Amino acid sequence: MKLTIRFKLNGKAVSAAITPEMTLLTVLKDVMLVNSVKRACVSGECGACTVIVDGKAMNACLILAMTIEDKNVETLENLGAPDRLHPLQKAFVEMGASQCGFCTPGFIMAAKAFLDENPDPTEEQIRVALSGNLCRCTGYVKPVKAVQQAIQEMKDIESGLTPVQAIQGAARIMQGHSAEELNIQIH
Amino acid sequence: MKKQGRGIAGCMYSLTVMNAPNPCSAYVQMREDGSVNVQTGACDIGQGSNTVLAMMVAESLTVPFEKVSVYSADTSATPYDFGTLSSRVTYTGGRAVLAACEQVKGVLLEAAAKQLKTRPDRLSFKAGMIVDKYDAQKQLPVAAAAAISQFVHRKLPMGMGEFYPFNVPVDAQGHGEPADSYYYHATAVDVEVDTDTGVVEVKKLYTAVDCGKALNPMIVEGQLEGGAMQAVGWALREDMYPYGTGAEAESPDFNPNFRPINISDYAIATTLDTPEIHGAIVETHEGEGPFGAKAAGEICANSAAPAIVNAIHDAVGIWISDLPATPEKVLKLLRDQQS
Repeated sequence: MKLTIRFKLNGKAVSAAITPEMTLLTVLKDVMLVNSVKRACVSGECGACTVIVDGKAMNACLILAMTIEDKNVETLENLGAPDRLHPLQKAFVEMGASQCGFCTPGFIMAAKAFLDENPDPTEEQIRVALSGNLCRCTGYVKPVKAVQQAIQEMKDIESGLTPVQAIQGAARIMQGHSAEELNIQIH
Repeated sequence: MKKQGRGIAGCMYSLTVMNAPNPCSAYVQMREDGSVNVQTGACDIGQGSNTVLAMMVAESLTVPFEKVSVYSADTSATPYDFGTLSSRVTYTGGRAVLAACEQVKGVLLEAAAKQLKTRPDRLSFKAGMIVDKYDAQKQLPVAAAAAISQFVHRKLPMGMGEFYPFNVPVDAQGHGEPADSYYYHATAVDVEVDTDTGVVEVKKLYTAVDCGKALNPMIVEGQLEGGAMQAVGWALREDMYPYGTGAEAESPDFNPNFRPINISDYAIATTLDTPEIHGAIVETHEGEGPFGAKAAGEICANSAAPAIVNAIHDAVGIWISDLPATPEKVLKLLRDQQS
């Protein structure tokens, strides 16, 4: 039996032909060909397939695709691009918070959903928020530090631009990007 | 009651595979714009070998890191490598790419010497330039030398490198030299043992590796911290055992299923189990290694489990002889000790 579901994927309205037993993971990975969502344990234990559904971090492998009708699904692709990384992505790169990188999209999406709700957490709260994501290469010291660094940077962005950021922003505007597109407020 | 204990352990590990030939090979070619293509079978499974091999090529040919592309581990396209095991890739792969780089440099120096009307042995590489050691006026960008060699002198700046790590297989009398070199690691831990529940908690963990020259200290730190986390899991929770019973298990053809089969039972450590970890990189110089490097691989996970066992003994006086040190085992040994 084929069904059609409609939902929002990274802000765009999309539809997908599915069968009832499909999970959101199957739909994202095999139907929508989203690269960042990883298929690992497929039983909700490792967090590698974490996506944000209506603002909450969820394991895509545990959600039946039928239940996401009209919902808003956000994957890592929505966060940033190589030339304008989200503070979380930038911090993970700068801290070396990944080795093989298989768990990284899940870590970043879990951290983003958490920071959207709680922008100023303690280290303990960050650890609890990331405890559903498993990493076997580089451990958890650097991911937690990366989240802390990203929080600091997001605070800096909110309170205005540092001179370096202002110059970088200006350079990008000269390359043809608009200020709105880059999400830069010019003071 | 909670009791504190402290333990240390150290270990050594073979660098390169023991008692067997385990070569690595690489092709390196500089293109006419000064960018460099590296092909090698050395496989990056996340330990960062593509990064450090590119760093070594960039350093050797004095070109920017961004100019180097590494294509690795495609058995239909890349030259042979033994595999990512026994902490051998940085060391063996590094020597192979550096050997290839030496050939590239030889071709570039020939071309530059003809262009600058001097001799190759008077020239040296310096920050992206080929410079006459005795006449600083005579210099040429590396990329220009590559283009001149390719288009004027009809010689491609490419090289083919291979490296066989040294070893003499150990004979029946135990004589031989099993591996090319060795590297070292040590761990110290503070643990807390709850004598009522048997739960062991690692509070602080100090981990140090002698990795030769740390080519990329950030990656070495990641290896130290990640290895420590694996070892904390092995020491306290992770257990895997063959599953099968009766006559079936006695049979020589017995092919056991292993349990557990999922991650919720094979409980690897999470953010909540992470102790306060302090990593230390102890740099030494390995004369045979690429730029003095050895390795920072498997060994990072090796000495933490014995250190934790020693710390448990220090805290409550019991010896765990069978990992993991689960609460059940700790409680049973504590009861045996009392009776």
